[in-house]
Amino acid sequence: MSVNSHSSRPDSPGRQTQTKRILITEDSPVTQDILKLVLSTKGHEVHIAHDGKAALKMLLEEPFDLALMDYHLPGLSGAEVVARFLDEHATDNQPVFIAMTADPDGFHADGNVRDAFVRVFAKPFDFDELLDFMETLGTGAAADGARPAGQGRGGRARVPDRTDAPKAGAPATGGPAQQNGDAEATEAHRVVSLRARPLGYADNSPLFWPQDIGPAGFSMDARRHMATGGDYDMVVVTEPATASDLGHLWTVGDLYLLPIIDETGHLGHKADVCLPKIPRGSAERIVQDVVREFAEARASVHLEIRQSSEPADKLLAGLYVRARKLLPEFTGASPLGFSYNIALEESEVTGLTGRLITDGLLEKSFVDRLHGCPACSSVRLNVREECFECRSPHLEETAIIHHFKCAYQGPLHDFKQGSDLVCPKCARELRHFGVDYDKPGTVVTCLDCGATSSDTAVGFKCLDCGAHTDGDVIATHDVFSHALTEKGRAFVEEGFIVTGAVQSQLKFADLPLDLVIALNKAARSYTEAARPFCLVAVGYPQRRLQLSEHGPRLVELSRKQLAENLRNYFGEAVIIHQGTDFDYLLIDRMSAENFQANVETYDEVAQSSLKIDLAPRFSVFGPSELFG
Amino acid sequence: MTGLGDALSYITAQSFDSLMVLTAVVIVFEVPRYFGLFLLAILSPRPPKRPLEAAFRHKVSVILAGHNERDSVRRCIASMREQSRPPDEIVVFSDGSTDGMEKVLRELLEAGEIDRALWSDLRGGKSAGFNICQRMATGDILINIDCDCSLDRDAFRRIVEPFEDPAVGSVAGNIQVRNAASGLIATMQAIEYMITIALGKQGALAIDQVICSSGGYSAFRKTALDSVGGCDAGGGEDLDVTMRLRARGWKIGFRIDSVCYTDVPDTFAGLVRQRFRWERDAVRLRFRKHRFNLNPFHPRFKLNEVLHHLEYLIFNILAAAIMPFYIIWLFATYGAFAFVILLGLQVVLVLIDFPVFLLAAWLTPHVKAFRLIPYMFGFSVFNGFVMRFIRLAAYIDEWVFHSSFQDSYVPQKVHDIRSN
Repeated sequence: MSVNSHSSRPDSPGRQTQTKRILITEDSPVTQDILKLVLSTKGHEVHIAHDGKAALKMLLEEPFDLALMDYHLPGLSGAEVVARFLDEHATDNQPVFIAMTADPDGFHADGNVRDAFVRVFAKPFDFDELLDFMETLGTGAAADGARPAGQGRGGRARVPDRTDAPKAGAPATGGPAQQNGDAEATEAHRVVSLRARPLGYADNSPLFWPQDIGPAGFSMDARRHMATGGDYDMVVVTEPATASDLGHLWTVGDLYLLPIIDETGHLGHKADVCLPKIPRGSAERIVQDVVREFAEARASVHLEIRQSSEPADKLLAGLYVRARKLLPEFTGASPLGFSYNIALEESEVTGLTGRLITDGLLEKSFVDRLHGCPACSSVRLNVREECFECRSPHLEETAIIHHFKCAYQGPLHDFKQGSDLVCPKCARELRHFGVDYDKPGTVVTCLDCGATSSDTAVGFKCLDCGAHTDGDVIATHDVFSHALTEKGRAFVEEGFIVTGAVQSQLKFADLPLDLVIALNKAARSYTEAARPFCLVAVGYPQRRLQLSEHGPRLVELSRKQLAENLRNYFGEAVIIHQGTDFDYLLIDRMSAENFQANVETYDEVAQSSLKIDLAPRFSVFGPSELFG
Repeated sequence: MTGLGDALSYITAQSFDSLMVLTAVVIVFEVPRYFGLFLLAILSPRPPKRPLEAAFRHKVSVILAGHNERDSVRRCIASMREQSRPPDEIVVFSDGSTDGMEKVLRELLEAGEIDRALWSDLRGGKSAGFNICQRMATGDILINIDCDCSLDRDAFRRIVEPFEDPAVGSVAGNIQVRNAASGLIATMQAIEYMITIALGKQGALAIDQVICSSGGYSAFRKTALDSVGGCDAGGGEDLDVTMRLRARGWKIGFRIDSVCYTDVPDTFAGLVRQRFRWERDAVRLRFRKHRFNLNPFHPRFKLNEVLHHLEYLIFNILAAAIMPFYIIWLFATYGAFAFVILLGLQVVLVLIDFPVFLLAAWLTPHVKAFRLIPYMFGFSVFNGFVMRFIRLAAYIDEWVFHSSFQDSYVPQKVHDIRSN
């Protein structure tokens, strides 16, 4: 097995950085994003594969100079990818394979794996080291470092060094590349960053705002940490910040799923832990609990969702991990009048919830109705009583006097003569309340235009832009709280299979070939002979819990047994495929409605004689859902 | 049949003199009045129709005072908005309503349908309501209208035209019956309104004898109202204020082509109650408050005012008062023949009423009158006997019991203190 890539390529030793085509195979979205970001800024052409299968496909289709492979991948492992690639591909024009692993010991235990890679970086690895290594590939100075991998043993030999002291080895690869200004700047940045970083989170890997992720984006330090596969488990906000300041958390990988520990109290309910509000003594315990809860919850977010760049998906996952309803809290600080308890700007949240509600992933409930300025949408309004005619608030309320004797009825000031009340019509003095006269009501007079009415109009004056609006035409905004629906939770846990929108692509891409062929056959006989069929995806929403409770072996056995039970029950009519996340049943001569109607029976059948309750979820698709 | 035959042969056997005696009541109390009207109405010139612009020379305010008119005020306002000459200002007063009328007013005010909305918590009566509207209104011409009225499209345009004459202080509108189809009682009143209001006032106008700008629908010049201080306390304020305007020298006009529709009582009891109120207020005002008009030595005595007082005295009061005596006399003298004689009189009355009605129908624009013709026969009985007895009862009631001082249309607190 020879991985002898660079020698077969014409190198240009004069250039320190050479544009390379790099394939990153990595399932962590953060690492993906950061590696891509850093390598792209170095001028490389970066491609991403989410899993081994995709990586193999891309490797076979296009030439790459370098392939950075995660060792632990869903589906095919990194080593299997390399092995298959080498089996199927001519030996020339091969990329340099580099492994990344968080488990160096496991790596070394596997001989096949060792041989496949030129170099192994233990996570979290030193990003400079990776860059250095790439430089040497470019200049050919790495011949010493890389070449032995071609022999197999050299690559192995180097590994312990790197894994034992990942950061110490950097200068060893040495060479002129190390001495560029870039590295100096990085060094300087690191010093600043370390000095500004508060202490007190010894047991965690905190991402500090604004030290690590400031208004300009991520610090070099943070990038390095992430690019080398280092994880963060919390975001610590050390200076007053707003939701928009934390926008980066929502754009890079799945950092938005980390708990936000607010040391300043400025974020209010947008933070997950507000340190100033909790007793000093219990702060550490609470933070640790939150970090642990978040880590657990993150683990059950489906990979598709964690990797999704769709803001709506992120919002759902963010709510899911926080186990939180999206609740508005009233605040005068914002022209909107309220803020949501998530570190996103309200305009973004409201922009996203609409579709999520339509899709049934969120459900909303009414909280309040706010009145907003039609000019600037601010809800900071002065509500005033105004004249119906000229809208002036300069109003005066006076009593109406009814003089019984002559039936004159008018405002009090018609009658006022000094301290006496004299009827303007008959000039009689009004002396006896209830006998001579009474005050049956009031009248409001506008001191600006003189108009009178028994009532006043209501008007709004915007305190932000000064615009005036009549009370009856003022725009209203309803404020809702939002909660994940059962479907929304399922979506986060099980991925896009749950929503209709992306089902078709998922089904056919993810289903095994024989099932796709069978599906097509079924579809044909459905169109030709109206013979019904349905595809049932069996999901296990509680598998995380079950795995931790019963262990993988029992769960796996139970799933097999469940499939067996269904096979026995449906007999010839069913084709069953067992996948990693889902099991699929293609049932001939059964309509989706029919299955849906009897789903409880099938559930019982499927789980009969099982030792544990797998709590399967059956998603049924008929021809119309499958083929539009 | 023999009774009828005998009676007929008896009547035909009478001499001319004795026939005159028999029909004296008709001759004295009906014929002159109707034929007078008939002639006057025919002879008086039809009101000149001016171009629409003429109706815009004055600022027109509508004043609307009502008690518990929540349900009818909207329709009334809507029909004003439909006018060919819409009002420049609408002032509405809810007089101590307890049905939530002020909520409707608020909504109308917010919608810009009306310009002033006023309300009180305690009822003060129609006069006080009228007065506060008058006080708050800013127009030159104030059109006073009842909430339960609705209007012909040209009503306002026509009612403001007579104010071109600066001597005109008020113009009465032509009030007609909207619910003529809701029963015999209402139908009878529809005919009655056509004859007494449309034709009657048109005739009266010719000799300056329009006495009442009725509270249902009429227009006033603001300065004229201010000169008399608006309405006085007590019922019949419309008659009162018109007579006081006349006393001040203001001319009172009438427009037959300014038509307003109102619902009249459609039960006998309702009708009786209404007429009791009207007649006793009329008696009280004419012969108590305004009796100086009949005193030649009073400084404000005017011959012009004597005329309508006399007319009222003879044709309303006397005609009603004599009725029971006449019938008793008839039965005493002729026994069973009296029925036949009364029947004969009715035939005569119908013969008189018929052309009068046709004339009224012809004069009154916009009103579908010919549907009412079949009811003319019944109307003669209704008007000649029924209404006459109702009036008589009302006069006695007022004369003896001063019932107008217990009228529930005016709050007790006002009754307690007003003088007349």
